[in-house]
Amino acid sequence: MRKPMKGQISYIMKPFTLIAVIVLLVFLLQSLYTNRGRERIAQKNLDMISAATNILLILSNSEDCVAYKSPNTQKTQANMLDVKRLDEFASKYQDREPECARNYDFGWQVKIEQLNKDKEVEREWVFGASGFSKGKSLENEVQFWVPVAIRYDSQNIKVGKMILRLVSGDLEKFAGFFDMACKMGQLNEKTGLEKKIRVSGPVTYSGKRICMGNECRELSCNLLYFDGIRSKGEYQMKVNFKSPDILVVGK
Amino acid sequence: MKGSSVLSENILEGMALVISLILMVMVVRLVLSEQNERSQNNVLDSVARDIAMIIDREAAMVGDGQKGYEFPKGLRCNVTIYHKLLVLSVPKKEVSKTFSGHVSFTPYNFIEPAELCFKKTAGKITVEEGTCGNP
Repeated sequence: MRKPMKGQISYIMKPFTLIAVIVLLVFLLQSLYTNRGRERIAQKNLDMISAATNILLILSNSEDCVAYKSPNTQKTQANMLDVKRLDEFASKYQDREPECARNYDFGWQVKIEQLNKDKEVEREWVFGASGFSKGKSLENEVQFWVPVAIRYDSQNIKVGKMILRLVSGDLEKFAGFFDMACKMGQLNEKTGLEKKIRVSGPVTYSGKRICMGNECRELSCNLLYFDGIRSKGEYQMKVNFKSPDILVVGK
Repeated sequence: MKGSSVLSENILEGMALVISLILMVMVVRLVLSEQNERSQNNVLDSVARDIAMIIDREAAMVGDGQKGYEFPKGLRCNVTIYHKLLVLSVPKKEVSKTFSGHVSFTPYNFIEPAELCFKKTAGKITVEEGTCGNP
């Protein structure tokens, strides 16, 4: 009786060992991929935080943006904003970010609040994008602020804060891709651009505006042969630039 | 009859051993190639992030200045800087990264540079190959 029992145990144990080894391997590979996913999310968050910090610094310190440049020294002063530039930017950039601090991966809006002695808001300026991804199409959103000085003239300098809202999502990625292709074409850097973009819902396009739901963004170029995207999924977008402001779209 | 059964059992065990060895080699190769690709991606991503950060910090800096970037030893990649887009390329792979600052006179093309110098003069950022000299 002993010999057949041994054989029977061996026949049962071998498949079980095989299954156990396979399960172990699957677990090992899965844990490797899960860690990679976590790493990617952490990197994206880090990218977003550094982009927000850099945009705030560029806005407040660059003469191309709203920083005050002294006509005598021809130099900008750290975190001192020119009230004339603020007025200009607030009227000019109501629906899109100024090129001086644009990042084509994100969308942003900035609010500058002028504060009185009681720290109450006495005046404010807003510029940048007005429409942002919402719901399923929203990936991440951060808000940062820095203290600033608002210069009217040499005798009249007020305190304030510059608050930046930075958003990452489908709408920002779509608009960023088209605007980057448009700008690169206009600068004669590249006539064609290609990118794989994932969307979580329908995208519509009409009159230089791209929309997801009720949220829209104005584009720099007109899109030719693009009537939007009807369903969620991953799309390989291809564009070719035609002077002065046309993008021929293929997907 | 008895001999043939022993032989078939030995053959089966031998086959199992060979199959398990092949499986093990396949899994190890998969894991190693995955890790190798991941390491290469991580290195390129980190370099791209560092360069994009230098450009943005130069753009956010008040006044003139310069900052150099030395590529990690052993990394040979081509660098292209477009308007707000940086592309690093090695054979069969390309990593791109956007930045917020404005670089003048783009595009820049560098073939396997060892060091790059980012200069900001009169509000304009330019890029040169080599070590940064005296400002």
